[in-house]
Amino acid sequence: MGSPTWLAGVFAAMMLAVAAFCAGRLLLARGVRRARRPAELDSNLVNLLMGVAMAGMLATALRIGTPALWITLFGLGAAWFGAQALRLRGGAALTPWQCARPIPHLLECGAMLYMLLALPTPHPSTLHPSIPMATASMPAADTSHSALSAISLLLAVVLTAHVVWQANALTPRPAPASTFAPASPFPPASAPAATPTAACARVLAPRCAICCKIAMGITMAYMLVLML
Amino acid sequence: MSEGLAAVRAAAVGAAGRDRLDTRRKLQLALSAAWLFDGLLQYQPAMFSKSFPQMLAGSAAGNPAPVAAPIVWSATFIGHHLVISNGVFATIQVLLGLGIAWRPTVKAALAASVVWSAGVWWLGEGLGGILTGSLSPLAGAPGAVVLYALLAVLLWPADRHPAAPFVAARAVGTRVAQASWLILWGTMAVLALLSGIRAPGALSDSVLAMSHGQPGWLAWLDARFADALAGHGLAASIVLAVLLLAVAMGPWRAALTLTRAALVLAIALAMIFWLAEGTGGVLTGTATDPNTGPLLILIAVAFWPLRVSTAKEG
Repeated sequence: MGSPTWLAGVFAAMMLAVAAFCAGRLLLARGVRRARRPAELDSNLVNLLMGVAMAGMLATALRIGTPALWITLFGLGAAWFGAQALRLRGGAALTPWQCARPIPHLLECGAMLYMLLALPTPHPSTLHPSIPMATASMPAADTSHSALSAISLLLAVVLTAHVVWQANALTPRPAPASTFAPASPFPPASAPAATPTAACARVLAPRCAICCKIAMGITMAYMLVLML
Repeated sequence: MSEGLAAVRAAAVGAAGRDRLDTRRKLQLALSAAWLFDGLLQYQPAMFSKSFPQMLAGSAAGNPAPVAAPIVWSATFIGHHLVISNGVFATIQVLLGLGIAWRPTVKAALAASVVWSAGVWWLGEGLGGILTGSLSPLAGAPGAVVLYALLAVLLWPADRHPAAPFVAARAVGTRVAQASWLILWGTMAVLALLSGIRAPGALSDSVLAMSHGQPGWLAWLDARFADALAGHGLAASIVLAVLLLAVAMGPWRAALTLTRAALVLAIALAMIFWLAEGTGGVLTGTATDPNTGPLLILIAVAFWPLRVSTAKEG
């Protein structure tokens, strides 16, 4: 017996909500940039893609694109964030539309690539193509499955730890003195709220963004646990 | 370096300072991750099948009737409402994990985790098998979930004893923390000597039983360990009990070196237990938690002597 379909549906709905939120952030990016706040276009774009891809993996009705397309996209994402991490390590300058913390996104792209590559390819004779990940059975235990289980476990544990770290960062803290503060998700308490750019900054909703990362991390860890 | 980058770096340094976590908070976050991971394991397909209530009912075996009867009743109830019950159980554990990680709810979540752990320890783990006399520390006695409750108490975010010599004593005091350590490891030492454990093949059989369904490398490791223990049940039990007693006395030692040695031994034993437990079965797709090994390590870290300056800061 697999997991109940409604459970996969709940997780899929959560991923679509995350994707919609990230799409909203991307639409507001121009105004946000004028407000001199970090828009992080790259991380929002990849989270949008992940939300759509994961919803499709969890619920067949939401499936868009082929696995090859998603593998290509997340491969490019992994390469981008990997290069970004190396550039940051080398002391390169940041722009406000680039993610200041590429490692977690690199990890997420890696996890997506792993899931897309490790899942058995649906074949009419073995597995109905409409069976989503949450209800599909993994192949019988063998050496390759053992290795995959270990990788799934490792990725699930790391993602769980990242979720916990994000939840800890969700705690309100005293506002920083600097107006350009990409490291802090909370705007200064005294920030003007009437101007259009400030409104954009408010819609940026940093706490919501962290909640989305938490939801995405939990869903991804759940999908990896299903592969154990 | 551009002005913008300098501002970013300055903000990052400032945030890092604000975000610096003390050892107790780090341990709370580790506990939070453990709860969250348990919740995700509870969402596995196997938990939505009849094998879950059967596993719960199995923990009644060997327990006295007043303990066993509620276990059987709850397992039957869960069996009748399997999907909703398991969905609720998993979600509760996920929420406990997130609650501990989010500072405003840490106290409520820790308190709730103690209540939840007590219920699961009885109805899900049959009081960790301590009344059956047949479950050794190598097989997970005295039960993983009771360790979650102990950690919640020891890591309670209060500073009644700010100059405590180790993290676990900050909320409850040195004597109470030391007593909890002594009871935990002392109980495991006693369990290792019970008749059901010291029988010639008892320990090896329990280790071998844990290897079923495991990935090849872990099954091989457990099989070799079981081979080494086969026929030496009594000797192995005595050695294990002596080691556990040495650990139990650890935080009571005046010399820091001896305390640290006992804690290192505790961590080493916890890792051996974890491998003997087949990592709690997390690689089999049928585990509800990673069993006692990782939690015993967390508890040992909570008893690690603090540096004087850190203790004063606490």
